[in-house]
Amino acid sequence: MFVADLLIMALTPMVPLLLGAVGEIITERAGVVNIGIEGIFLLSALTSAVVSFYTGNVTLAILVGLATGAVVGVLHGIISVYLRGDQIVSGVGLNLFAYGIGVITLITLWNTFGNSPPVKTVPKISIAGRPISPLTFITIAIAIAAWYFLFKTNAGLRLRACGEDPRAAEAMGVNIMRVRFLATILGATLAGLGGVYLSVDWVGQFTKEISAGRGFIALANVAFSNWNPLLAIIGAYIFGFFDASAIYLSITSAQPILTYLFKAIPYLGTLAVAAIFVGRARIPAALGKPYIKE
Amino acid sequence: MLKAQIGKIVVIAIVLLIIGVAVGYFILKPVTTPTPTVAKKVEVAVLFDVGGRGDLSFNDMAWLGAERASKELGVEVSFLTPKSLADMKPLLEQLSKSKKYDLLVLVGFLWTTPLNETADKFPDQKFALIDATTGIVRPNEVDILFREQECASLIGVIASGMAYELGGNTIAALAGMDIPPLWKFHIGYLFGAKYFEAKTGKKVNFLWVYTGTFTDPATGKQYTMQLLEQGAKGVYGLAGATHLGTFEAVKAWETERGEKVSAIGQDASQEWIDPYHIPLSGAKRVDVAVYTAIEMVVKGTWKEGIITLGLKEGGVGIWDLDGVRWFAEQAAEAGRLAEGLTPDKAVEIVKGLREKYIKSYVWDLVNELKKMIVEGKIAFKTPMTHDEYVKIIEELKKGNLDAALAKGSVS
Repeated sequence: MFVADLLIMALTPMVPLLLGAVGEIITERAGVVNIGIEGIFLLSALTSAVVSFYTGNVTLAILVGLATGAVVGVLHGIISVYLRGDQIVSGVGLNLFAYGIGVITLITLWNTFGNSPPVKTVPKISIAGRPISPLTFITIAIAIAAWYFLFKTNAGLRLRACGEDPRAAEAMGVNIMRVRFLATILGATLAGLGGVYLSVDWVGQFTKEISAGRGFIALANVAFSNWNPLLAIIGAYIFGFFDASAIYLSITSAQPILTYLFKAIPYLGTLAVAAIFVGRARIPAALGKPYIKE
Repeated sequence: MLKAQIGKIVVIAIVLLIIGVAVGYFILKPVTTPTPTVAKKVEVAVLFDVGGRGDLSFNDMAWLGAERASKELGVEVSFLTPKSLADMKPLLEQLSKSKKYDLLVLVGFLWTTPLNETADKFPDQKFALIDATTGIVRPNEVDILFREQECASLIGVIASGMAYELGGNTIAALAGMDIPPLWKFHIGYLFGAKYFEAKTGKKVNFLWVYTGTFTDPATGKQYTMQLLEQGAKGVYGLAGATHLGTFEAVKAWETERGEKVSAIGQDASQEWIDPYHIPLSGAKRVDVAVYTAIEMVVKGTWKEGIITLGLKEGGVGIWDLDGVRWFAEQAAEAGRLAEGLTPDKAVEIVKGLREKYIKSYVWDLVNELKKMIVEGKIAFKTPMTHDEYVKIIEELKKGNLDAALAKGSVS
């Protein structure tokens, strides 16, 4: 009974890690790096929480969160694809900007420095007596769809070509700039859904550090999965499972001193799985390099 | 031609005018600024720990105390939050060097090391360290500590009693980091549970967990869900913003599983956040500590060393309904109170919960214990090392209540 509980509890932390990773895989497969996932999580968590608080309409909150991600994607896309700016700098800037905006909004709207009031959340569905968020299944479906798109469709092949050998892709008639731009927007939009999940599903309110480094774990999951959305499901789920197990061990062992050791389990465990099963990762060849037409 | 020349002259005239005004301003400026005022206002800087304001408990309470000092004692207060652990020491040195402030109030355990490395270099700068101690007596430093064991022990008794009313016998606590103030909470809370066991003969199952963070409510919710899964009926939140996730979890537990469970807040009165599930909060009057430190500087009653605040001094305790109302009113003013709630209604709900789940025999136990503490018949140990802390906890688990006491006996 208890292993079954852990298996279900692993789903909660999985969702944002998977959404962030799948989005980033699409973006990076096209040749653009966006390390601003953390910032997108924060911004979308914020906007969706605000909408949920003031309208009580969860669907609208989700849509606004998605749109927030998309807008950020447009900005990062313009900077890194069309203006050929430094993609890392843009991403870091985004993370800092998001944190600042979060705090300022909290002060402006609720005169508080740390967190919003509780907001309405996504209603759970009950499976075998255990409440599960519908976003969990949507997320897994998105990951599978992303894999199908990237590896089984023509459009996916074109997208990957932009990240591997843009010159050859262009010779084939692919509009590199446009594909990269759209991939960046799509990736950021998915990360936006991850942000929505954090505030309007998981926590039920916005707090200024709600993402708590999950955007960076999602980035690590991209490399873990070797830029493959299907493996990303496994990566995120394994991390979630070890996370839930670590909490279980912390609670039942009742040894405060071991807690910090247990906290390392998700990282070590995922690393071990990557080392044993995933093998050597291969980075898209043209990743992070702005495309300059000759 | 003429037109162009007039234009030129106008432009030159404007430029000259601007230069004239600017020069005039700088010449006249020293005269127009007011000369030093008769009595210089006392200036105080309050330095939060990295969590910063907004936890609705620890740091916000510090802010409250400083605000009260600025109103009642007429001091000038600035607030600063370091961005990260690495920024703490440079910030402290910079402020000490500036000689701008009569007192630097350092809020939280994390300032201990930066202060230790800074205090001796600036003998003229006064420091007040809140909720921690460097263990060194310096003429320019005062450390204000709380006897958290005292309030946590009362909460332990109440939580145990409540667990039985909620149809179980497990109580839990969600703690932040494994640091000295939390050790004291742990000792007190476990003591309370064991005291309840000893006096009533009813078994209490005790869970305590460190999340390792004070800022991540998502993690807090995950931990709390598992504590509830282990049968906890009440979860004591001792993790700053992290335990906001506890409040969310107990609410979710009732809607999703149909079982009523409760959460207990700490530091500030947190009942207003969800009065249906938070029947009480432990009080840790960080505001009183900050105010006390500032008062010492303003009134010239500075005394170096360590000051501890406990039940007797009103430094710790359990928030009464007036406290609950005050915090609910603050929340209502800021538009943070949940829809359909008013301060009155929140107090009414909390009152109802307390009447329903805290039986009179439990209050009797609490009052008896409180009396012994306030009268000084018993006093708790404060562990100096982690080993000592673990040893006390192990003894307590065996039911050896006196192992937690530095003075007196309850057996």
